Amino acid sequence: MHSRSLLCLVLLLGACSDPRTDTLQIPSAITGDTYELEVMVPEDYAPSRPYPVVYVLDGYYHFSGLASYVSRERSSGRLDDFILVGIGYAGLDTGNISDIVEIAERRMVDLSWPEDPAGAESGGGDLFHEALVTELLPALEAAYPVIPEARTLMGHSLGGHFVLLDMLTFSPHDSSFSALVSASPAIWWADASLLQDEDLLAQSAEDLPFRLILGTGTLEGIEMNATAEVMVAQLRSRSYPSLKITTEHPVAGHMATAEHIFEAAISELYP
Amino acid sequence: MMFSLLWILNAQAQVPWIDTVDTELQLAQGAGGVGAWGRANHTWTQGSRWSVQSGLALGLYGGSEGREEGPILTEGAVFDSHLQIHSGLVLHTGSRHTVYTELGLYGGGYVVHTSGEWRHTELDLTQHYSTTALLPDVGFRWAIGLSPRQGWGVQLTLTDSLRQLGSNQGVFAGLITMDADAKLVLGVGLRFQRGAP
Repeated sequence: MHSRSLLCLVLLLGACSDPRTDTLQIPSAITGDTYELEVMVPEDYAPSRPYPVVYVLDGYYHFSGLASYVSRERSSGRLDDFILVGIGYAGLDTGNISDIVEIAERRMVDLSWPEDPAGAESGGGDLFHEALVTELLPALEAAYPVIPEARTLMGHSLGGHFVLLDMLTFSPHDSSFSALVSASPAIWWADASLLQDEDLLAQSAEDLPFRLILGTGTLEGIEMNATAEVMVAQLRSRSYPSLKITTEHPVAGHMATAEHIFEAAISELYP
Repeated sequence: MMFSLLWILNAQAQVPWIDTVDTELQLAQGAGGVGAWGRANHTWTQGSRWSVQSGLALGLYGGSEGREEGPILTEGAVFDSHLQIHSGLVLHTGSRHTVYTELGLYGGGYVVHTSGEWRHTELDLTQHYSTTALLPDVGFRWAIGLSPRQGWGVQLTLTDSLRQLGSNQGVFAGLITMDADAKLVLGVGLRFQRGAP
């Protein structure tokens, strides 16, 4: 574990109806928040065997639906084994209106970078990225056996923007993730600074060693779809030898797109 | 045109098949923001204070999509056309049955077309986007109306697509739609009644 003095790791076995789902609570010294990781292991989980791991941002929205999908597909023998981890905030419940507001405020800070020029409290993505890589991943991986070279990061909306920040801005050459799933990314954030980051990176990078699955719902509107098309076109034009890009475009609006793309990505990454 | 044809066929029938017509102007969230909606209804059974009816409805909506912020300019338009089959219960209250409330469900589908352009002036980028989709739909409709005289009424209505329920966003978020894959509509309009069995 990264630093046992910083991490108070609480294992709440049986907190959910699925007996294979555990919960870890990890305080971060970097952001000051306490994060909650929901963890689903395979049916025949063996602590002596290392597994690929899929981290899902905004776990409070996406984890339970994905866990059901993974269970269903596994029972039909259609998915390889991996550990699914939802990243959320401890003590906040999406069934409570005031908690939903607080979640919206916290994720606006944690998943965005740079700060919103319009003035909303935001732009803490660099700190959350550091917390993710140096606090959350080590805590999870101290408790579960994982294959470090087979980590996937998935995010939707601002989470999709954060996923692209990992690839293009924060750690293009030394990322902790080999596969990235960016659903409905907010590429337009901060005057579309991600497109500028991509352009700057292309001036020095010879390769980007990622498996990228990027998608938008066709009914999400012009800006969301057009910016994603520009990003994919720019990335493809660089001809990075190790960058493999797949695009997904379900007929869906913003809220429904995450489920479609995450499920398609999991089926593609772990068939 | 569809309603004109129905009306002509209806006039030819010995027992009028269409006994009630609703017409509304509507404000919507999800795809086009303003629209016109009409429905031709048949009353199956009628008690002293209630009736059961079904109807065929057509709604046409349009709207713009745009944002101008810093170096970014997005502009475009969205149109959607809905065909629905409704069934519901109409309750008449008040001493002279002048207030009516309708609660019903509908099923059907709609076509959405979006087209527009995104520009970034500093990066000198322009990207066109257009899409057309056909979507099945189910939802509910609630209406409250006042019928001061026999034969017509004025009504306020709420219609909501249930397409997004079950998309991991919770019941509340599932009912409040953002995009064209579901629609939430407020309407105001008139109801004309030419007789019922």
